[in-house]
Amino acid sequence: MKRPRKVHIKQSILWQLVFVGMVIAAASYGLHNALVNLEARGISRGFEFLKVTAGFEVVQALISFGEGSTYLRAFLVGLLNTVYVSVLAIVGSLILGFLVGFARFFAHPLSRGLAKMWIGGIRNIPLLLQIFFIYFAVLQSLPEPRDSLQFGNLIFLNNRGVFFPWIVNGEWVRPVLEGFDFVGGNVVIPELIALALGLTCYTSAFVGELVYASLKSVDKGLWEASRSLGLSHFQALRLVILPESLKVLIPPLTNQFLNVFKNSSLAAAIGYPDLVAVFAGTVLNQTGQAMEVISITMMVYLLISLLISIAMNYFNSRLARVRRHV
Amino acid sequence: MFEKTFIKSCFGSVGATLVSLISLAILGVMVSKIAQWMFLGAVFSGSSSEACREATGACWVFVKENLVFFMYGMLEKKEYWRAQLFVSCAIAAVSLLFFNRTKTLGLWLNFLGMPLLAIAIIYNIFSPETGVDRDAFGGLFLTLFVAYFGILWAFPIGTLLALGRKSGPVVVRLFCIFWIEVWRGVPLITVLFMSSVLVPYFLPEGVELSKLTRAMFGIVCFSGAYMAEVIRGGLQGVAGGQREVSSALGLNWLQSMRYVVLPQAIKIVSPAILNNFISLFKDTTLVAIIGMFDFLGAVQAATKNSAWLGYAKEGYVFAALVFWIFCYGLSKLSSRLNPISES
Amino acid sequence: MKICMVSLFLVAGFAHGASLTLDKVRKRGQLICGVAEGLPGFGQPDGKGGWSGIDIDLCRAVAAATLGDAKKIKFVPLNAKERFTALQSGAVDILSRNTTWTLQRDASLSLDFTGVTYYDGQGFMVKKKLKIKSVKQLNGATICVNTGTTTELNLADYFRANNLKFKMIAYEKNDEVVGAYLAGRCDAFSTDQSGLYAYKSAFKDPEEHVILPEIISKEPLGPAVRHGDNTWGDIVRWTLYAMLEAEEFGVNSGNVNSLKTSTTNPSVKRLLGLEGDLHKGLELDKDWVFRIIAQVGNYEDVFENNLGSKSPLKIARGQNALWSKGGLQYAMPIR
Repeated sequence: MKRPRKVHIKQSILWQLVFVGMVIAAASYGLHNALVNLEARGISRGFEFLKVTAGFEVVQALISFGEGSTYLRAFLVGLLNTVYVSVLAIVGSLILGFLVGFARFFAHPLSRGLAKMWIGGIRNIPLLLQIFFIYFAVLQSLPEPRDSLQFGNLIFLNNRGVFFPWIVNGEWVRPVLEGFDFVGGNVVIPELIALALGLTCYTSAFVGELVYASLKSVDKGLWEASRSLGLSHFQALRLVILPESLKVLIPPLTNQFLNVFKNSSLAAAIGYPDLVAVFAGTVLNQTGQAMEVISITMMVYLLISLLISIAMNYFNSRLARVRRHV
Repeated sequence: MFEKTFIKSCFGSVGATLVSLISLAILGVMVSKIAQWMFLGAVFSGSSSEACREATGACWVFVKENLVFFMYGMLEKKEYWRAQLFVSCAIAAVSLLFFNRTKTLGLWLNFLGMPLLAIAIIYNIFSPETGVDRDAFGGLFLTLFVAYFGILWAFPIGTLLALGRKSGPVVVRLFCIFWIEVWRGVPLITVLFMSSVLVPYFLPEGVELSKLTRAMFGIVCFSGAYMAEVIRGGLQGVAGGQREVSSALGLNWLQSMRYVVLPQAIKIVSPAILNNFISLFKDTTLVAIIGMFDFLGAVQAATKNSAWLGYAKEGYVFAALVFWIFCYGLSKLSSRLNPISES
Repeated sequence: MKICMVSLFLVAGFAHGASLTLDKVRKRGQLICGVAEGLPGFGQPDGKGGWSGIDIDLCRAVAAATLGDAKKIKFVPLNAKERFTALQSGAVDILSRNTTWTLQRDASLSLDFTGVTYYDGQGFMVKKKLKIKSVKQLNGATICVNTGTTTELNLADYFRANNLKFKMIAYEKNDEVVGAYLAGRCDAFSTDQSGLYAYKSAFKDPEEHVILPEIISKEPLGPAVRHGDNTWGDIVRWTLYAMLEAEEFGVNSGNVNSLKTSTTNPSVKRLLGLEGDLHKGLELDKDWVFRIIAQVGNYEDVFENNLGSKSPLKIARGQNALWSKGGLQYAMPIR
């Protein structure tokens, strides 16, 4: 009994070695080609370019970016913009998604119909198309700055974005029309609006379906039990059904968050300065160092995806532990 | 009777009435706006943008005049048959898969016959002198072509990766985990950028891959990794005892996978597989960003044509409708097909 | 996976040992030319499988010279990002895609620019109702540009140098830039002036837009080939010169057939290969210029058809007139 097992293990190790050899051979062959090709074409290598002055402008930067800023700084600006729009879209799609999910769950035929229409319509149209549509439709239907839609002379909506008062040097400053544009206060650019809105709508359809499924998965008996305890419909939902359904909801929701984060890269198509548009777009074009730029970009996405996964797994396992204790 | 319960559930209480009114308001505004733009104010006849100067709604002339471009891209008229033949064969080959009797034949056709057909009439490798330019293919045909091969090859690759991750030896398992997680961790757009900008560097001197081939390579790697996770989910759903039972029956690992575990696993996750297909189909639009004239790319290119500047909305709405029909059809198909796969 | 890879390689086909682009092109029987994805007057698909533009015609001329037939050609649309990689990796034989000749591109990216098909400069377009007469009045304006171009850098340099504030929105594709400008997302739209004229001509209301007089950069646009294949570079370079020389000597697509039999002018005879053996140095046959002119035309024909009076763009020759007429287009002598 023992001998054949040993032989089997030996064989298995041999095969694994062969496999490793093949993988290494393929990888080094590709790398060798790349090095030869880069050498032959005289393209510079390495990460020195990150220290070079970038010399272009970015329309939305959460950290200061301007004359004399380096490519590394451009990378950070792009990364922060990616995170920013992702967070906005995740929050938005959670709110809208829960709304849609509840609307679909309730026994009101009209709300159910609308929710079903929303889910069935949105889910079956490519996100890129939706973003294009929102961007161009929103842009074209909004007026120019001088004809802005106003809200109490404080908030202005036009085809340059939404302008609203903001604290500058400890004082509230109101946006004022000056020259081409509003000056002072703060602004949300339409690229951000379109991308965040597109991601929100698209993801809300998926979140809505998940919320609906999770609510449905809760045992009918729980409803009856909580009603018989004297809880109102709303109380039953809030105190019993929702917490119970969350356990089913959270794992697939994680995937939606990850999708939002990755889908935010469609920014490149509408000019929102995210990581792909700024770094894998402008920086790649200006430096020509495709190998370094694309690898860095992919690594960053990979790393953040892994971090989100690990965090959510941890959260999940804690949830599972809590469930076991109950 | 039905009307009564309908009215009661809509206006039975204050809350219900409120929801009804809001819903009705949303519906009303939506329907009237859409009707005005799509039909009442729209222009349907004519042959140039002149016809739409006075339009208050959509200019469908734009879609009508560019329809051929949306369907075939830059393909010359005398070469349409290639696209038509390929799509018909693909539909036939795929439909064979759904019947138990023709399943094996279908598999052979899809995985051997269709690639050969593609090489023969699309890549046109046998008569490159006289034939058609493969980069001329575009439009809806290109979208279907990329989606078809992307989805098809995702399946065996995904299965291999899933099996490797689930029950391969350590090294293989590590490799599969690495491979799956890398592709799943990055956005498709970076994969496409990689395939369009970076892949040429990794090929030896003198070997050239067309843009289409490179994009397909990226898409297959990407979709294969997603498929692997779906199938792995199915494998985990198959009761652990099944393996032991089949080995007790004298089946080896391969046989037990082939005849016992995999069929069950795939059955469990078939809705997820179809969802995966649908998202891949939608994701193929991203090739427009790397400058290919797929369906969405062709629509965009047409809106840029100097004769038709300013009709982007019509193009996008038309594209949305087409995509919706395809995706919705696919999702309906899945619910219809479930009983068949149960046999 | 492995099988998939192998089949991909098979599909791709091997084209071995072809360090000489000319051999490769001849063996393939087809010239592969990297062009714009869609820029009126330079490289524009007509939606029916055909292409037109001055960059397109240069490629046709090279095909006529090397393969004898201006139709033996394949156009590969490339965006700004992929254009250099496509050339470097051998995916295209020529890059003829309104590309600006700069030191960095010429030296660091291992390209060789072989001439200037169009002398251009970066300009600005604004809506007429803004009543703006000069770029200096654009302080605080939002400006739309195409990403990955020299435009982006020139703009930042110019505005900083003149102490003007601006916001820049960079789009991946040209049509998105135009769409955003028309929709009012930006106050001004900046790209090469020829491009501005091209787009303006295509607008529904061209008279509502003005192109500002300032040109803030030099943008010599021309074809590029891979560094290191000098013969191929010579062929592309002299193809353009031949078209310019033909214009100078009054040889055009209309009269080239009759001139070939009747001309007594030694320069024309030399140009059309009736005398001497200048073609040998380029590894071409003696009819190469004749074919270029007969099948594609001289520089004037090409310019007028695509950009000038016979096109919707109606761009004046300006800097692109022959040197003898006060322009910058100057062909080295064919002798």
